[in-house]
Amino acid sequence: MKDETLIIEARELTKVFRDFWGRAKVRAVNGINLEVRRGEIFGLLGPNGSGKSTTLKMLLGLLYPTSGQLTVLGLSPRDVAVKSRMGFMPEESYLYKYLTADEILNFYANLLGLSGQAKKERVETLIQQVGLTGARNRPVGEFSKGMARRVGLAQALLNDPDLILLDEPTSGLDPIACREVKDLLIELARKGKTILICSHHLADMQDICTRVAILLNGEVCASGTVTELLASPDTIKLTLQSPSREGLASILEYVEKETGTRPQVDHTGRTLESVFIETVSRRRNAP
Amino acid sequence: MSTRLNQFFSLVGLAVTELFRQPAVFLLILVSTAITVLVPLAIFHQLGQENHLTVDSSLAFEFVFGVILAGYSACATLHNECRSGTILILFSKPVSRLMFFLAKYMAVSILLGFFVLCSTAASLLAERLAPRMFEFDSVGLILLLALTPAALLAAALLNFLTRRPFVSHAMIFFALVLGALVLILGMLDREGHRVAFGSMMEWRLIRACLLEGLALLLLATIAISLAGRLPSPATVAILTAILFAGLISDHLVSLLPPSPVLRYGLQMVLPDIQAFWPADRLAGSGTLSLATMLHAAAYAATYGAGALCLGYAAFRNRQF
Repeated sequence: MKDETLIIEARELTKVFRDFWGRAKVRAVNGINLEVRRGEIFGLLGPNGSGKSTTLKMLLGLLYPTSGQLTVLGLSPRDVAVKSRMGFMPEESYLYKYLTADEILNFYANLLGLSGQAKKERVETLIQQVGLTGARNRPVGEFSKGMARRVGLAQALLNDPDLILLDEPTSGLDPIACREVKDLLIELARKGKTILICSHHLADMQDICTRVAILLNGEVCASGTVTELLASPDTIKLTLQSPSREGLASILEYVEKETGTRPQVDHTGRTLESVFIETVSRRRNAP
Repeated sequence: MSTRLNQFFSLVGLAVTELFRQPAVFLLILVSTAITVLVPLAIFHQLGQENHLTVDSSLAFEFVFGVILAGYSACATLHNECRSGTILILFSKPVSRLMFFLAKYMAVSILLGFFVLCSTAASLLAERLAPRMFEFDSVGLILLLALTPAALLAAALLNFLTRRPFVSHAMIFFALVLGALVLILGMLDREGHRVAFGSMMEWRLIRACLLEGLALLLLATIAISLAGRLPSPATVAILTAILFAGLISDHLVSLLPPSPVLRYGLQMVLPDIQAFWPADRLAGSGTLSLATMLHAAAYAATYGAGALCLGYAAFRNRQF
């Protein structure tokens, strides 16, 4: 049965940035309403400057709403207690460059109140899960962007959070790592975790999000499940496996007679992502 | 409670590690020590008041470099955390802003404590090595010039062999060398003969340096309060202005119209740095009494607590 528990609830949420004199400079978020339920992967889409990151920061209590109501896990985002049930991965890898991956995760684990064997096991699991076992003792200042993103993801999952907020989680990752991250997020959602993602990568969002909202100029322009948004009620897609030339011709003729329009015929190709993953995996697995 | 303490000490530990790995911090401590020890060698042997001038100059250098270090380190640990964005992840964890703010101050205080230790050793060495009647302390000089590069080489070797960070280890080895030099020279006279330990050292400087250390801790509260909003150059500039204004605070107060409100107001706002300036009290064979030290400590604690409260009030609602 679908869990209807509201994890994030925003009502008429507005954020106005002001200048030194207190005059309104930018209305970054303009009266948005959001509801995210337990177990959902919710995508916030929108072009640059549409208010995605501002919304995310308000959810984290880093920015304060100018007006409107916002609750996260039933509490105000400014409440420190709510943070122990949240995980956040920012768009940039904001990490202490002189610390190793191991030191960073241990530091954040201390802040989250983990200690002893539990801390050790959790750090170990996440280091393996994000594929940093070989680089755990190198300062993150020496890491590539993709590797730093993995550390960022690992720290966001340290406390096994109920709510995970991710800003461009697949940015900077190679296609295989990107696929792994997406699979991990789907698996987490299956376990009842709620995930909110801000991203420009529409294909990634389409792959994993259950619901999305499209922001523009601080307002929600469209929202709903991915299936609802993608559905085009007047058009259907028919996929045929190796039809004969004659068979195809008669099908097209029939369809044209029925609908009055000539149907469009395309060859269903593989995606570049699937070709890349297959090629690299084959080479890596070769003896 | 233990979780909160664990969080607090984790934050302090990280900030201290960060500060001790900053090349600029090490350079400041190295240059401050070098100037304190070497300036008397270069110029004071011609003036006839070697001891007095050496003590004054070493205490002045501790103040000046200490203020720069307080301002720089407060910004390196607090302002840079805000600017670099690491604070976004930090505040997504269950860490209160008050704990974060106090941890940053604690880290700066630990660094300043380390600086005061180095400065105290440097002041003792400067007074000991200063030429007397055109004669240098050749034994002390040879030891100083041999052991200082040895400390840096040891840190470099450790970095080469074990990849441990160079800067923090160089800083620790350097402090150990300074301490060892004080101990060794404490047992030798200027010709290198064994004497009763400490008979040739000016131990009064320890209290004097500690007194200045209290002033630096007070100024660090202002620095950390400013660092929540301002970058290093602005913080150091304001701190330097407060240092100099604080040194003449009595004079500034006397310039005001005879209104108790104005005078008490200025006395409350401007720290009385004169209470921490020990050079005048050390003139001749003067000493710093325990009462003076305790009075200064109480003043620093009271003023510092007020400054921290104001600093936190400005920081607690900051948006990132």
